[in-house]
This record gives sequence, C-alpha cells and structure tokens, in this order.
Amino acid sequence: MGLIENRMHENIVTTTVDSVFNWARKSSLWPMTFGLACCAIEMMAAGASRFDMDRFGAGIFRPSPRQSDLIIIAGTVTLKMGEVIQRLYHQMPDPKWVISMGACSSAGGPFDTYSTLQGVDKVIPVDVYIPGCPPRPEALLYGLMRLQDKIDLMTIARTDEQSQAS
Amino acid sequence: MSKEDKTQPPSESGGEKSQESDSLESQPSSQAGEFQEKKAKFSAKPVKASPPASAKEKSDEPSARAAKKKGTAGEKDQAQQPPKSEDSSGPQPSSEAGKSQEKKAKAPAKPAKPSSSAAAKEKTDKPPAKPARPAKKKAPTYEDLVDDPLLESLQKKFSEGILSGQSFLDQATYTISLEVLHDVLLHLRDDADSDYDYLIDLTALDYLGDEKRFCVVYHLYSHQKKTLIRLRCAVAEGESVPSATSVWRTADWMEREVFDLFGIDFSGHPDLKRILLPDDWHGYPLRKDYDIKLQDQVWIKEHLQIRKTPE
Repeated sequence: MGLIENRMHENIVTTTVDSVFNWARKSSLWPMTFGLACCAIEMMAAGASRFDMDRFGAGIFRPSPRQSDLIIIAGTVTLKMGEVIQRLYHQMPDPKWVISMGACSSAGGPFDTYSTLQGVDKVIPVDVYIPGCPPRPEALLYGLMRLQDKIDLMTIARTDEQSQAS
Repeated sequence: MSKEDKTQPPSESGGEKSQESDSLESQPSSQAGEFQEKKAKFSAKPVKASPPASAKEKSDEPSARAAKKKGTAGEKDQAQQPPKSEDSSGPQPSSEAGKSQEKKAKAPAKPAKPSSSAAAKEKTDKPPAKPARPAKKKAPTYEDLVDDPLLESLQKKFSEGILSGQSFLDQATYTISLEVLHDVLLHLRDDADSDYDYLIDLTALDYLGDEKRFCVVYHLYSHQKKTLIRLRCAVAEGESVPSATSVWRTADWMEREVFDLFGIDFSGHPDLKRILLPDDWHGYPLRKDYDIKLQDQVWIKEHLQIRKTPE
C-alpha cells in the first residue's frame, strides 16, 4: 500500500477486479525451487541479497508444489526426472506458471544424448524461457518481470478459451 | 609484429611449440607437410630461398608494418635473442622485417643481422636442425615394467593370472585374468606390503570387435604408501565378473553403474540393478554399438506420455 497510502483524502478509488487480481498474483509469485544443476546456483544468487528476488515478492521459495504457484526449472532435465516434473506440475494448484531457466531446460542445452530431455516443454507447458548457460541473476529477474507482464494480461472473466495465461 | 611476438616471447613458447608439433607429428603424414611448413615459418629459416618463402613474405608485410610501430620493443628483444639462442634464431625470422627495422634498430641489432644473414644463406638448403631446440620427445606409450616389486610379488603368488605389468607416464597398470581377479584384489588390500585400502574407481571399457569385449578397470590407492595403481581385466560379453563389494564397499555402486551402462554382470553383488538410468530402460548406453542419441522410445511413451522424441 506504499503507493497510495496517505496521498489522498477520503475518496473512492475505482479499478478493475482484473487489475487487482493480477497485481496480487504477480506480486506474490511463490516459486518452488527446482534447482537441478548449475542454474540452481544462479537462482540462489538471484534469491540472495545482491539480486534480491524478494523485492518482487518472489523470494519465498516453497518446498512443496502444493504451496507454490511458480516453478522455476533450473538445470538439465533427464528423462528420469521429466516424469517427476510432470507429476509435480500436476500437483501444483492453479493458477500456476513455469519458468524454464537456462539452455538445458529450454532445449536440452549442450546435452543432446540418450538421457537428456530436449527441453522441459516436452512434458510441461512453459511460460517464460530464459536462455543462458547459466543465465545471470539479472536475466532471471528479467524473466520474472516478463512473467509478471504476462500475468497482467490475464482476466478472471470467462473467456471462450479453455485456459488462460496459466 | 605477429612473427616477432611468436618467436620472441620468451623462447619457452618456442620450446612449447616444438613440443606441440612433435606430438602432432605422430599424425598421418598428410598433415606432416603442413606442419613442416608451419614449423619452418616460426623457426629461424631464411625467407628468400626456402619453399614456404611465399607464405612467409605475405606475413612479413604486415609484420614489417607492425615492426615499425613496435620498433623499440623489437629492438630490445632482438638484442636479447642472440645471446639466448646461439643460432640467432630470433633475429632471423625478422630478417626481412629487420631490414625495415634496421633504420630504427641501431648498433645492437646490426651485428646480429649480418651474421644472421650469412648463416641464413648457409642453411638455405639444409633441413632445420637447430642445436638450440630441445630434443624431440616421443609420444608416451605403454612400456613394460621393470624391477617392480609389486609385479614380482604378484607374479610369485598368482603365476599365470598376472598377464602383464605396464607403465604409462609412470602410472602402473597391471593386466589380470578373470580367474584370479578376486584373489588379487583381496591380496592387494590385505597384504602389508601393498596396502591398497581405497578403491578409487571401478569402470569398464568396450573394445567392440575384440574377442573379450569388455575390460573392467580398477583404480586402487594406498594411503600408507601413497601409490596409485590400475588393474585391467578382460571380460567377454556375457561373462560375469566377481564382485569387489566384499573387498571394498564402494564397489557396490560403482558396479551398479558399470552394469547400468555396459551390461556387465557382477556375481555376488548384493543388489545389482540400474542406478543412473530408469529401472525399466532397455539397452546399455555406453557400449560402442549404442547410438549416443538413442532414447528408449518405449520407455518414453510409457512414462512421459509424449508421442515421440526426435532421435
């Protein structure tokens, strides 16, 4: 409330329900850590003090998929793990978003081999891809902000499409 | 001046280059000609008469221009070169560039240049045989061990089982037959003389086409003696290797990994199953006849519910 507190006299403020909901959702994206490989280090760095992710409201990393609305796939995804990721994604409650961080989870990275899933988007739908090997923490924050922009486009009204941005 | 920079920077780099090119010389002779040319370029060959002269002249042009810029630096280096390498190998490559530099290069360079050009003309037709160059080193090979106490004690105890003892770059490698493998491992661990208490690694190699296709390799380390040895044992496909789990417990997971990726069976293993790949994966990926990109489509269809991944 820092933006509007103490600025106006008693008044009536009008807005849309959508913008309030979207503002609430994008400002409190609680990620589930899914640090698999090297990108996890950069994700930790992004969550640490220098590149604080908490100022976006996204610094609360939940250990459980049931309590998170964002999953950041950070690292190489093997076929064995792909199955697990599918299960976790299904356990996340709506609305949920997926950030694919790094080259490995976006497209398999340098590992075009028998064991590596060539992109996590083969098993779950991805909202934002962040390229890099690993992407800098600022890149992860930029991806987070782009996701926030994407959330801004959502509406809670019924639309003709089955699913919305999530 | 690119050439100066390459020949002059401490002549150690010259030594390094000769080492590099020496190891490269073991490559097929089709590349030998190229390397000879390159060596000639960087060595102290005169520019005028030698065959790679045309290549050298081209590179001399920019180097001459750069020489003018770096006149003083080159001058100092040139002055240092003659004392360093007796064959005046330093000033020689820059002999042509040295001419343009001569105006700037004063007395220190001058006595070097006439002698170098004189010597250069002599060496026009001779192959480059500079005494200053370090002796050619052969590529490392496996050599039989001599006077190795461990080999002798093993041979005394397990006469025919120890097939050979070799050394590669001072790393002792013993080839053992499958029958005595387990006994040898126990002996190496328990014997006070060869106190190998640490199994560093257990892995395998696939020599596709050989009669005994696989070769299981053990790396052992002794903390007391601070020595590291390697044991090799040839195994045919389908043959089962006695498990080393009873000797060193770490062999448990290492053998599981070898089983997972090569399909080599270990008898006496407490729980031999896949460790890295999914349990119901078909195929052994690290075998030579398994394509690097081959994924088990049956497994994928069943577990990941995606229709097909590109091969």
